[in-house]
Amino acid sequence: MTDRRHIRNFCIIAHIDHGKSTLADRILEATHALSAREMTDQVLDTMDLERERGITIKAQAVRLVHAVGATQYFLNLIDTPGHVDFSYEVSRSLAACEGALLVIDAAQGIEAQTLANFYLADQHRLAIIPVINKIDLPGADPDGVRDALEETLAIDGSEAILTSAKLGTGIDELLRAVVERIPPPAGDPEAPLKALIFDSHFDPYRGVIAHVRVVDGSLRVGQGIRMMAQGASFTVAELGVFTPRPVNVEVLGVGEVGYLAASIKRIADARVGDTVTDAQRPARERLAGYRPVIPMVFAGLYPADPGQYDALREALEKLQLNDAALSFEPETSAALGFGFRAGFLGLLHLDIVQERLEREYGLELVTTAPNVTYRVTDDHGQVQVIQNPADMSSDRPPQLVEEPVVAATVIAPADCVGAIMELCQERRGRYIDLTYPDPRRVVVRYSLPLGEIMYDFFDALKSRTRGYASFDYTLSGYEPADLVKVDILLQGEVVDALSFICHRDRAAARGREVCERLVGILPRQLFEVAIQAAIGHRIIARETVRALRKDVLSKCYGGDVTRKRKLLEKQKEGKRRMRRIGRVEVPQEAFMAVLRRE
Amino acid sequence: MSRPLGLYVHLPFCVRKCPYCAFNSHALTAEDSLEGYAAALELEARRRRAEADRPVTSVFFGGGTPTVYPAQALVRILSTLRSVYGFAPDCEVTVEANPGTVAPADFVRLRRGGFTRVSIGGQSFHPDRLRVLGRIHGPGEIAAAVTAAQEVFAQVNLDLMWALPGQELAEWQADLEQAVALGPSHLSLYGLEIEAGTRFATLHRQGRLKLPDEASVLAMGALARRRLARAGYVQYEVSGWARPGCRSRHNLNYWRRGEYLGLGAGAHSFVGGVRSWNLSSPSRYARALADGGLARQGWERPDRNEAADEWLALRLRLVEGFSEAAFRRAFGLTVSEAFPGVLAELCALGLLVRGAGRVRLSARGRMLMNRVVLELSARRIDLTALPPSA
Repeated sequence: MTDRRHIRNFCIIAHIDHGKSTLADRILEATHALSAREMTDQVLDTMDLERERGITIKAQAVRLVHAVGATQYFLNLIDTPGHVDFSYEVSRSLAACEGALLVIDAAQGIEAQTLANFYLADQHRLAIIPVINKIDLPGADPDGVRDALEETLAIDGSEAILTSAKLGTGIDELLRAVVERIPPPAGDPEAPLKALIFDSHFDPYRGVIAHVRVVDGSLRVGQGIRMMAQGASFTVAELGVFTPRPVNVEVLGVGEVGYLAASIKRIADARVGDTVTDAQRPARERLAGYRPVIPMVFAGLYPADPGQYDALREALEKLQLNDAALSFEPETSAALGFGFRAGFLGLLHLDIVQERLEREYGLELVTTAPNVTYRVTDDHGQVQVIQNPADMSSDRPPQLVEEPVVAATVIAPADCVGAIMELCQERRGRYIDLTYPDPRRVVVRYSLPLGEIMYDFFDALKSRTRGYASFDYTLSGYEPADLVKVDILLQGEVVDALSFICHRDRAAARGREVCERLVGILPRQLFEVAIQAAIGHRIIARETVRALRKDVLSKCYGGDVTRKRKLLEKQKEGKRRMRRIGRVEVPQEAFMAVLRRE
Repeated sequence: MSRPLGLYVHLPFCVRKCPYCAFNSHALTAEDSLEGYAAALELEARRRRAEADRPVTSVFFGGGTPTVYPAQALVRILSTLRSVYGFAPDCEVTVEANPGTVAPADFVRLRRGGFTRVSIGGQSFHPDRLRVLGRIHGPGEIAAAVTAAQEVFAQVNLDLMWALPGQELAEWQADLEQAVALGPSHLSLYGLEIEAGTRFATLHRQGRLKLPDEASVLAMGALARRRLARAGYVQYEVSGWARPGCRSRHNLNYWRRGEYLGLGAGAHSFVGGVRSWNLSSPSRYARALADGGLARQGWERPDRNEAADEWLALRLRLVEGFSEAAFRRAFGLTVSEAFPGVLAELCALGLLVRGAGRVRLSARGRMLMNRVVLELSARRIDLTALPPSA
């Protein structure tokens, strides 16, 4: 067991691309956790997908040894996910720390995620060490950033440590600051065990590996433990720390960070944020901050080949072992057949799941346009949460519909304020406030419906601010809105997988857009196809796909009938991949047609 | 009359390659040996003699441009074929000829040498269109060639292309008028198709081909149908019109899924239920034969599903369509059983016509032939799962 006075638990928080991963690599190098030969860039990001996308999906912790004089310090660096979809996981990682390095790009300055992360770290009462990184860049302005720190975050600019993670400058000074400025963990070694699960992942051989921070008491191999929120009990089979290679230990004491394995079969039994306690001598109450994961974005996932339904279910079950945030339930669509309604933290999460299903499991999917959840109250006052627009009755509109709303922060050059407000207004935003941290920058805060920002808000924002705006948000609850369900009809038949919910004022325009887009996507058929958008029985838009009139090979192939037949086989294959709705053949991409705007 | 047996002879060389052409044709270069290739053809003919168990009923010399060979050379190849295979008494013997490669005397030599029919690749009477198509001849040479051919041949076909880049209805009408005025016994009207791997495909991708829109193309098709009917031509196939008694026997045999032998580079054969094809490179073809072998590149034996698809794709090209009784004889079940539901659907859409024991495409359906065949084939039951027919 390590003397807790020699432990420092910290994380690195930053806006995307401000150099967090490179800085982590330099710290690992400087503490000889890895030799230069072993260094592959950005070792903390393990999954291929993470590396490709430059995003950290799963947090990990690394124990580093750093000597100051004759004393050896154990520095636990806890990595945090970098995307707003995973903000709950970020908050649990922060809860496992006493300090945070707040990394700011010396040329870019403070951005929306810098602010969001700072507020989050501040809420957890972490000691914050500001780090001004990339000082080697030609456009670096460390003094400007120091001023902004004082103006915006009320942090003493002179406390900032200047680094260039790329060149390795400032790293020693940074490590000294970690030891000197971050307090050692508090906690009572004699109290009943309380350990925070701040991350977990599934290992096919050992079951769930829970990453834990011991707050009170201690964890030992062989100990009976209980998950306080989930209620399941286990026996600790293995304890260890990452150096970053896993090293087994017998005990994890107060303040220590490591991992435990206990033959836990499902990741749902070791949920992030849950408290591990001793089964015999349980703590009275669990650590604060646990929240069951609530998926906010839903989409239908259907196998392109109906015969792959079971394979898709098995793949989703396997993914779920490793992803507590993923939920799914069987769903039947008249248009798409048998599939699943799956819930995600956000669009990035959906993208990742979809890509893993296709890449790792070789499945071909038809995905419906994702939607947020809605809370509907019927005439009898019954409240129901709807995950699929098709589930909302077209005939009897509910009495009250509520949609999820976020508190959004946009930071951009001051001259963009008009464009930003205009965009937020278009997206049914409600103004909160406006501040100028320095004369050149503006911080705009709006309350916005989640459904209005999840697809393309950030893209629209970037295009209207010459790419300078940064954006962050947190969910703030449900609010009532005048929302209606729009159905899309082909040849007079409702295509359930294309129904969407939107604000009444936008319904006609959005219905028209979807119809127009479908005209471009639907191949011409042997007959005319009517595409309509409707609210209930009222048609609000109509388009027509004209019948195909010519498709003939006029030439004789000099007896080469084989070629003609091969062509026919290829066309048949293309036809098989389409969905038949009534008599109409619909290509799979049509089901995403409701997604894009403009 | 015994079952027809076609004989196709491929002569792949051209003066130069046309930018729309996806056929196995090659611009003639100094290294190519016309004689060497002709010798290889004769070798192949002799080595494959056993594949023909009856006299040949039609012969077709196609290309390429067969007439890059001197008439005497073509006649010599033909007499070899005649002595190897034996020709039925009324055997149709066609040779393709391109304006600009034939003189009137050549037609006389060809007729005397045993050819009975000439097919002239005119394509268009408009100088701009001929230029875009990369043809080596002008409009005047087409008329001269047709007239000269008619002096000695009772059966003359003229090829015309339509739906061409920049072509307008009035111009197509003028083309038809000229064709009708020349009065060949047979007309083949080929709508331009952009085929993969051609220069036109590249231009099309780059948006540099101004093709007429669908409505104009349909109007051109309708105009041709009306004009040629008025002039006494009868349409019998998607692209084929003939005066009574002048249909191309050789092509009819293809559309009726009859047997044929194909000689030459890249030529296809269909004998005894097996489709096979030769090496497409003329030099590799000639080398393979010189080395003492055959030049076969591949073969396949279509199963019953594939045979049924071919049946449809080929027979529906014909205006006469096919007989339901013949389908039943060939596949052991009725068309309604083989294509449940879809036949009635296509009839209701006015694309197929069913009556007097036959199934055929309507004029509208003929313009959508690919789709109709696709619909039928996609909803055909699995015929391989049935017990073999008698």
